[in-house]
Amino acid sequence: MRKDIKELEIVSFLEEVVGKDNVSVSVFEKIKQSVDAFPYHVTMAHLPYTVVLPESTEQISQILKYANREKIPVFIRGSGTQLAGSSRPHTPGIMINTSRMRKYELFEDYGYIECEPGLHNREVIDLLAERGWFLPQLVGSALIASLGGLASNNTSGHVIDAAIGKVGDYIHGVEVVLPTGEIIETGTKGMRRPAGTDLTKYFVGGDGLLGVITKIRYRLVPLGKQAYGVAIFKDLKRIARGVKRMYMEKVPPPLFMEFMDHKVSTIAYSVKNMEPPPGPVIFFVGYGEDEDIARKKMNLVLEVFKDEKPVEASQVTDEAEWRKLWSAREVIGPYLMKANEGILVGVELVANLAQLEEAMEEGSRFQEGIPYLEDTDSYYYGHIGALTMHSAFVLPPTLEEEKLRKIVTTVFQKEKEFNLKYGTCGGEWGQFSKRKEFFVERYGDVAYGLVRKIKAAFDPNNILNPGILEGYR
Amino acid sequence: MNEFDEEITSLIDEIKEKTVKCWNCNFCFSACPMFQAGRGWWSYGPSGLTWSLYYGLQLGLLDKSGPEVKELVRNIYACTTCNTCTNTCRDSSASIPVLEIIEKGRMLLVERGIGPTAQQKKALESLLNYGNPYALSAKKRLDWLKDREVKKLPHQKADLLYFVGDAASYEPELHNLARSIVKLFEFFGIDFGILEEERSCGEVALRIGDRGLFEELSNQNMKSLTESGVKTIVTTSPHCMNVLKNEYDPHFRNAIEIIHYTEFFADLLAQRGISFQREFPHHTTFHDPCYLAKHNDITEPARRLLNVVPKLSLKEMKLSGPDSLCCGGGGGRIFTDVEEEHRPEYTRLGQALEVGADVVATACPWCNTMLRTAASDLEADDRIRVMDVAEILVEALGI
Repeated sequence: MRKDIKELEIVSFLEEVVGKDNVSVSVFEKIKQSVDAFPYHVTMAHLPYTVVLPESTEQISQILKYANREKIPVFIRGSGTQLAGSSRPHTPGIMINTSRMRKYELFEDYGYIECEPGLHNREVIDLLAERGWFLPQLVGSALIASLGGLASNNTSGHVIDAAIGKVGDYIHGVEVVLPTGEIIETGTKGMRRPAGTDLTKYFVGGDGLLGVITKIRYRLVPLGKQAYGVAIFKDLKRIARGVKRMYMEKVPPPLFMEFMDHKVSTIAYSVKNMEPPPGPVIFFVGYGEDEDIARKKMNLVLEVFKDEKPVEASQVTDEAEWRKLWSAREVIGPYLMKANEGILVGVELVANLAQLEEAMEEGSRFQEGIPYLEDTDSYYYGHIGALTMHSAFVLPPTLEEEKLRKIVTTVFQKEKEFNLKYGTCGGEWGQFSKRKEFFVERYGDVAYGLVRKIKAAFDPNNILNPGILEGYR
Repeated sequence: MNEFDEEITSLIDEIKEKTVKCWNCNFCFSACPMFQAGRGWWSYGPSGLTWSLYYGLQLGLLDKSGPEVKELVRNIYACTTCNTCTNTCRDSSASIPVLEIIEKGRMLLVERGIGPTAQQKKALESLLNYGNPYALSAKKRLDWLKDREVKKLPHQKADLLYFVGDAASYEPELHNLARSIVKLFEFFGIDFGILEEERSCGEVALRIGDRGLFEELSNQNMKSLTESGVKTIVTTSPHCMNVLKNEYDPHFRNAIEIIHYTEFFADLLAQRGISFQREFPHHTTFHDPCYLAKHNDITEPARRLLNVVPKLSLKEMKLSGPDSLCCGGGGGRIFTDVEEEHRPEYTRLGQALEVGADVVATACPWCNTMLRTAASDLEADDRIRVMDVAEILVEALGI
């Protein structure tokens, strides 16, 4: 009974802060806000007490002050596209969704755009492109993925880190509500980033552990030109060797560089009504200030791959053909699900440069030794320019939850071993929700303990996104 | 198990089997007019609806009356059935038939007696009693013709039938649209007729989820249309065209050509050419009706017609063709009040004004009504005129 009274009190408080229309206790809303693109079903015991849609930083501040005082867990969520469960609640609490916080201000004279967290990746790419600016962030879920979640994960998606860095390198400051409710601003409104300690870095890529990002200031980057290349090989080994040579021979890394094994390329090309290629495919984007520079960069990469005796290697000049190829790769996961009528489970395997060929070969055998998956088709593709390979499997949607969890746990365990072996780390999907064990084994108890202390310093009552730091269960 | 129970079980199985393949990528929300019109609730959008149905069934919430049922009815009948969700999922995700699941859900709610909304129930009752959703006498159906002489089928004969539809027959402000189409048939010398006793195509009943009523209406229509011996049916409304062409009995729809009037006149134009008497010096934008662009991939005929009108300057809105933004009138929404923060018709009219249009053309009676209402509500009717393509052609032809 006491629990019910408490819930009513919470709802009543929230209604005062954001208005009745922006607070929901609907079971349907709670369920939808408790799942994301992670394959597990909803955990009914974790449903939030209530879901709230604030419109302003001040409202979030009031909610967090209250939650901190009453020690009520608070979960923050944008569009729920997370692939590792970090946008799911781990215990009942208040779910704050940022989907009403969608304003932006473009300060071309200052050289930045300031965005609220509920805006979507694709719409900001488009609105900047219309004015000749470039957002250095493109994730597979760009259509709907929210900027707040992307900043918290510091993920650049398809963009190759070695070409232009991660999106965090372009975030010059954030406005944040701390778990205790205070509002702080970090970074600069100028063109030069701070030297020394910059609190921006605690929040961008902070897994949502330390504060709620309510404004993100991106430096404006002039929109460049792109030139496209594609090469088809008989085997993956030559692709790996070409990528390694590209870096070793000091060729400027492309903005995007993706590969698909033969099975994946066959599906991807077929979906787009293109003649399936005779083997694995690699395709890449030269990026430069003008078309000549972009083409020159792309040609340098193309020459590297021509030396690897491809079946075919050429520039793609037809924009429509490129769009088909790119869009097929961009959403290959769903296409694989469609082809197999099931749910996707994938891993992020990251090689080091020296052992790329070995790692690529090892990754192609990822399912070996994993019960159930040994008899399942595996699909192999990824952002090979960032030395990243995804091994993916499609499981029946009706698979029992217990079996599904066992498979997912085993798969993540094996991903951890792979990345530990090569001394690397994942570059997408955040850190702790998926990779807490990896973090502890890779960096040690002392390092993990430090993160816990940092979390406690910002969030003494552990009310903000509790459970993420402990890893998804 | 009796036939009724079997039907319900089959609906439930289909809803569950299809929904469970959705991986919650939420891409379907990105262009959903309903989600954009709402406050930002994720149960108020495509996969929010499908998963609400799924968990409503799993948790037994749809077996009883309660706040959950009320909420689901409110949300599911706010869907405009524009098909953007299904198209987005087809192009960018796992090809879940999102709209089909939503419509199965509506059928289930109707079968269980908990849907649709009270206002929509009245529209269904009227369809049953009067053959139209407006509770108006069947005798008034031909009032729009006034003194015009048009062949009445089946007593008279013609190869082509003009299927006027409920809205253009009964809504006074749409009578000019129906008359314009008749004028175009006459201008081109087409031997055509209308049904003496036309009744609703049943689309509203089908979209709302009353399959039984739809079948009753469609069977009556198929009988009279087949008896009339026509070879081609040309419709005013994309909704009528869609349901006749894609959802009537296959034997019927395979035997008769069913097309929208913009397709018919665009083809005629290509064959015969056209000589206009007047100029139409207006910045015009075209709003694509969803049941042409998003359900049937028909986007060009209306533009081909508009592009030959002298001095008409066609300006595309940012969202056009298959990416068009729904006006908010489909799916039975036009027959019920939906409280929303950013009404789709207002947003759409705003987009038309943004490109500097002083005329927004469309090719659907409901889009016409929705956009006209928006222009009036937003006090923009002195800056922008809502017209159907047929009305523009008639004005430029001077007929």
